[in-house]
This record gives sequence, C-alpha cells and structure tokens, in this order.
Amino acid sequence: MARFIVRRVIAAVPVLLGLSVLLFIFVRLLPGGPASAILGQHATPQRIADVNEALGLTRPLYVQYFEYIGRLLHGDFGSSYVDGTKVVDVFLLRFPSTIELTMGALFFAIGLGIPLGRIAARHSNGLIDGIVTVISLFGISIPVFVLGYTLAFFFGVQLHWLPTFGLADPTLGVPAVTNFPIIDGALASLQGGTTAPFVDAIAHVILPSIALGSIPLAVVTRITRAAVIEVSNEDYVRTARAKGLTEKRVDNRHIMRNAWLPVTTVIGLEAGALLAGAVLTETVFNINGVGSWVVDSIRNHDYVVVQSLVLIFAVIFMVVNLIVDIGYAFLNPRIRYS
Amino acid sequence: MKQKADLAVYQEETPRVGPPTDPDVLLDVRNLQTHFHVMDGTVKAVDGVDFSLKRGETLGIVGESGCGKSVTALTIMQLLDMPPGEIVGGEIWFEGRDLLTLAPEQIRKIRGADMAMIFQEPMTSLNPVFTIGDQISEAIILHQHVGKKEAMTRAIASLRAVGINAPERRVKQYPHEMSGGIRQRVMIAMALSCNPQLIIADEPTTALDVTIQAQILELIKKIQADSGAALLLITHDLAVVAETVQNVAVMYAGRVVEAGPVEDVLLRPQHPYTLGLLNSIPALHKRGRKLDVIKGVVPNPFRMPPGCKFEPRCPYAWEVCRRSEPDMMDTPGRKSRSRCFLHAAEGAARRYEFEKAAVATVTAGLPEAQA
Ligand SMILES: Nc1ncnc2c1ncn2[C@@H]1O[C@H](COP(=O)(O)OP(=O)(O)O)[C@@H](O)[C@H]1O
Ligand code: SF4
Ligand SMILES: [Mg+2]
Repeated sequence: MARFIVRRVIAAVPVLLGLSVLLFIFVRLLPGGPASAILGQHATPQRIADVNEALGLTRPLYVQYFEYIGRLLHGDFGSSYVDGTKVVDVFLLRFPSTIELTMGALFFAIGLGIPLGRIAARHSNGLIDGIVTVISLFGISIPVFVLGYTLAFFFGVQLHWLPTFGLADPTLGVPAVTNFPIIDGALASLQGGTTAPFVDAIAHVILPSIALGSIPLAVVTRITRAAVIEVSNEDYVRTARAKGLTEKRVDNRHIMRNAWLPVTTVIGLEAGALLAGAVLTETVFNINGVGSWVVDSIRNHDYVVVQSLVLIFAVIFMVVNLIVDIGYAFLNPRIRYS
Repeated sequence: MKQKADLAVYQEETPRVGPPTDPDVLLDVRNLQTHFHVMDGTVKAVDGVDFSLKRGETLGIVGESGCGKSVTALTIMQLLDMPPGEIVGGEIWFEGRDLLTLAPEQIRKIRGADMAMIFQEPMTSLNPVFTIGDQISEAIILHQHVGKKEAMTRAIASLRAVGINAPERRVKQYPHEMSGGIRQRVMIAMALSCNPQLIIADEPTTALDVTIQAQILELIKKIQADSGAALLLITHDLAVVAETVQNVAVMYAGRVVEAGPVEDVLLRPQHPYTLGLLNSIPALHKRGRKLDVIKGVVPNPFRMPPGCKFEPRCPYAWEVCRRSEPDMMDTPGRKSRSRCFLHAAEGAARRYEFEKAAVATVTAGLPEAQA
C-alpha cells in the first residue's frame, strides 16, 4: 500500500509541472492585466506601465516562471497583485467553506443516490424505476447555476424557508474558530446554550448542497442501479440464497458490498466535477469559499492567485482520487495486494 | 410388480396426493412443471418431471444441454428467478412436506440446512469480497445457532473434510487466491457444513480441468458415503453417471424419458434417446464403430413436436410416434421404465430391431466401460 501511494505521488509531479506551465501561459493570454484591475478603467498607459514594472511583470516570462516555481518549492504560494494578501492566508480562511459545501453536496448525493438506486434496481423497468430515471436525467442535464438560482428563488425569495446568502448569518456574531461554519455554529451553540447558530449553519448549507449535489446525485443513482442489477445476477448471489440467508442479508451484504465498488469509482470521478461546480455554486449563493475567489481573481487578472489556486485544486483532486482508490482497494480484496 | 417397489426412481405405487407412503423416500418430485415467460412466448423448461430419491441413495439426472436439468434442481431449491420463471404445477415432497406449499421463510430454513446445492461454476459461485471462512461460517451461524468463533472452527473442520490442506490458513483467504478445483472443494465444504439430508450437485465437474474432474467426483462420492446424505447428481456425461450413482433418470425436452437402476439403464437401454447417448460416448468408438452422435437438434421450445418429443430425431419413429405421446411404461423383466412406444403393444413388431442395436452398442462398449 505504501508503495502504491509513493508511486502515485511520484506520478503526480510531472502532471503538476506541466499544468503549472500551461496555467502560467494561459492566464497571461487573457486580455488586460492586473495593472488595469488595480488602477481602474481610466488608467493612462504610462501608469499601467509603471505598475507592471513595479510588479516585475516586464521581465522575461521564463524568469518570472522560474521565480514563481522557486517560491512554490519553498512553500510560498505568493500574494495577490491586487490587494497584497498572501494566498495561503486567504486560502485557509476560505477553504473550510468550500469543503463544507462539497461535503454537503456529497452527503446529499450519496445519502439519497444509494437508496434511490437500490429502489430503482429492485423495481427495475417498473414505474418507480422510470420515475427515478427521469429525475436523474433531469439532475444531470440541468446546469448548476440554473438549479441554484431556481432553488434560491423558490425556497428563499418566495417561500422564505431557507437562507440563500452565504453559509452563516453574520448578525449572529458566531466567532470564527475553525472557519467551518457548521463546526463554529456547533461550538457557539454549545457555549451559548442555544441551538440557533448551529441550526442557522445547517439551514444555510442545504440549498447550495442540493444545487451542487444534483449532478453527482444523478450519477450515483444511475451507477448504483446498474451495479445492483448486475451484481444481483451473479452466481455468488444465488449461492448466498442457497445457504438460506434472508433476502435482507443477501441484499445488504452480498449484493451491496460488491455494488459499492463501481459506486466508489464514480464518486472519485465526480470529485473534479464537484470542485468545478463549487465555483459556480459559491457565486450563486454568495459563499466566501475558494471557488468564488478563483472567479474574482480571474476577473482581476490576479495571475499568481489564479495559478496557485488552480494548482491547489489539482492537488486536492489528486488527493481525493488517491483516497478513493485506497478506499476501493480496501473494499476489493482482489487488488488489495497489488 | 413387487420388485419395483424398492426402486427409488419408480413412481407408480406412490399416491398422487399427499406425502409419499414410504418413510424412506426423502425427495419425491411429481409432475413438476416449470415454465419461463420470455419475449417469444413460454418455454416449458420442465414439463412434467417425476422422480424420487430415498434417504442416503444417489440419483443421477442426465441429458443434453438445455433439457431442463438445472431448472429442475433450481426449482427444488426454490432458487429460480421469478419472473421470468414460474412453477406451473407439481409437487416436491421433501421430508414429508410439499416444498411448493411452504412459505418463503420456511423454505429458507430448509435451504442450506437440510438441502444444499453445489453449482457448476466454482469460479463465480463464491463472493469475491469475503473470505471463504466468512462465507462458510455464515451458513453455520444461521442454521446451527452458534457463535462466530465456533462457526469458524466448524468451517475449518469441513474444509479439512474435503481434503483442503492447511484449512486454518485457507479460511482467511479470498476466492481469487484459489484454483477452480479448490474453489469447488470449498463449495462442497459449504454444502456439507450444516449436515444436509440432500445434496444437489449440478454438473459439479463440468467447468474443471479433466485431471481435477476425477478428484472432485471421488470426493463427492466419498462425502456422500461418509455423511449418509442423499445425492442428486446432474450431469450430461453418462460416464460420470456410471461411476457415481445407483439410479439414473434420463431427461429429454423437459421430461424424464427413461429411469431406473444404473445397470439397467446403461446396459439395457429401452429408449432410443438413451441408446443415442450411449452411442455418442467416445470410448465406444475406439473399437472401430462409426461415430454415432444423435442426428438433428433439440426441438425448438416454441415448436414442440405434437407426438413423442424425440420423434424428429429418432431412427425408430413411425406414425404412432407422430400422433400421440407415450407415457412412462414398464418393460417385462426390467427394473427400469421408459417413455417409448417401442415398449407398448403397438411397437412389438419394431422392438427387435432396437434391441439388436442396443445389444450391439453395449457389448461393443462393455470391456472399456468396465475397465
Ligand atoms: N432464466 C431463464 N429464462 C428463460 N429461459 C430459461 C432460463 N433458464 C433456463 N431457461 C431455459 O430452460 C431450458 C432448460 O435449461 P436448463 O435447465 O438450464 O438446461 P440444462 O439441462 O442444460 O441444465 C433451456 O431451454 C433454457 O433456455
Ligand atoms: S416413441 Fe417413437 S419416436 Fe419416441 S422414442 Fe419411441 S420410437 Fe422413437
Ligand atoms: Mg445446466
């Protein structure tokens, strides 16, 4: 297992290096630059040139690249050209919100997708199966921001059932301890003896989680359905029945333990889509996460921030996939030792 | 008539209603009909099968692929996929109860405990994500109401009983770490683990290497003899039948066409289909006889011949066979019975030709078959 992890880490190095070069070139191809973002639309060419000079952007590109990589290797992700904040500081402040959002979405997708897929498989080709299929097709085809704005409009603006702005109500004055709104809310509830901050944090994460989780929900449902149907026809399921096991045990143990394998793989593949979706969801629901920061930074041509954030996203994506693969190996004894 | 009463596959004296009168009869299958409802219509996979099996005895079911052997076994075990399968009629008396009248919960308690099955495909019949110790002890915990540790001890004992080396180590392994032969031994150990009254083995050696086949067959014979369980052995191979069982039922197109003690059926066949099967045993051709596979193919399930189901392929067929279907009938002086007009009054004139061919086949094969 250790060798497997080391191999994966080594394999990640050239990928990340290549990505850093591409990113470096790509952000500089965008029209405009950080100077015009800093100075506003009416800046004179002379002022822009001065700012570029001051930021070191007039030096040859390869010099800038190696300087950037050199700092990265020392753990320095750089600072924003626009407001001078360190990427690491802002990241640590904002990343917990993104994690909370994606966890909420995953929780929604898996918690609902697995039972739905199992129900659909049990009644395969029946009415329930048809309804589930239609819902999941809907979930896959509807863009995240359309669903997000629709949910926000109905459940927030019209019905006033759920909040649609951020992940916590700032007027409650919950102290930021971990920067995870739910954890901070829970801590504040424990200390203050009132459930309000915790309930508020939970209420805030519901709509964004549904918006972000709808595509993974559809995917998990369909894969679960397909996997359960396929595994149900395996000879070893008949063997399990031949032993006299209850249908419940055959289902929960012999079928599901095998059906989890493709489901796990797909959840790993969805990790990338979740990160991409988080960017949109944070924008729709005004969440101060990493995603909305990427959008702002691209808008501001804040080269260093964009480069570093996308690289961090790539690393997170790789780590998530590694964790999923380790989980898969744990579930599947056939690959456990290879 | 008297002598036939002790014949396990013999049906006539058994009443059609109620449990078998003979307390020694463990399994009594009567007029069993299992159909599959598929897109093109209904496949009558099992279409009126009768046989019975006494405690501790062995019965073979033979027939070409597709004749309904597996479906018969799965119907007895109540392991059919329903739909598309449907048990249309019949009775399955097991230990004094008709399985077809029991609730699923009662069947579940019998399955794996009193009645166990060994399947054809050892490579796919074990769950890949659980250790074999887990998979064997699961049934022991369920039926014998013992704890995990005791169940594992018993699982190790049953692995030892089927000749697996270092069973303490094997119980911790997964199926993919074992060969097909070992996996089939594991399946046998699993079937044995709760001391069943009846073991059903559906082509247990077909998927294995030729060298392993003989070992597994020996093992099945041995565990049957040691445990005293009755054995229902399904195979398409007459040689396996000759070596393993006391009685045999030959199936064709969802029915039993000939049944009786192995010596009678194999040495004095009465049904042209049985003779055809004997003629296609390779050992019988070494002595210069021409290869004699049964001509034609199994009838299309949607276009069954109106009379005898074997008529389109039968070298002895005549008009009577096309008009109506024969019942199982006796032959004077034989313990076996068959479903063929040659043994009815109408066939008297044609019987000699068939008997002549049967004697020629059997005498040609005898020295080799016995060797
Ligand atoms: N699940 C099923 N659905 C439809 N037809 C089936 C099914 N299982 C078996 N059959 C049909 O029943 C007949 C008997 O099959 P089977 O009992 O498996 O034959 P065998 O004697 O080779 O074991 C075949 O014609 C087969 O096509
Ligand atoms: S009844 Fe006629 S067709 Fe059928 S097996 Fe006998 S001789 Fe052949
Ligand atoms: Mg079969």
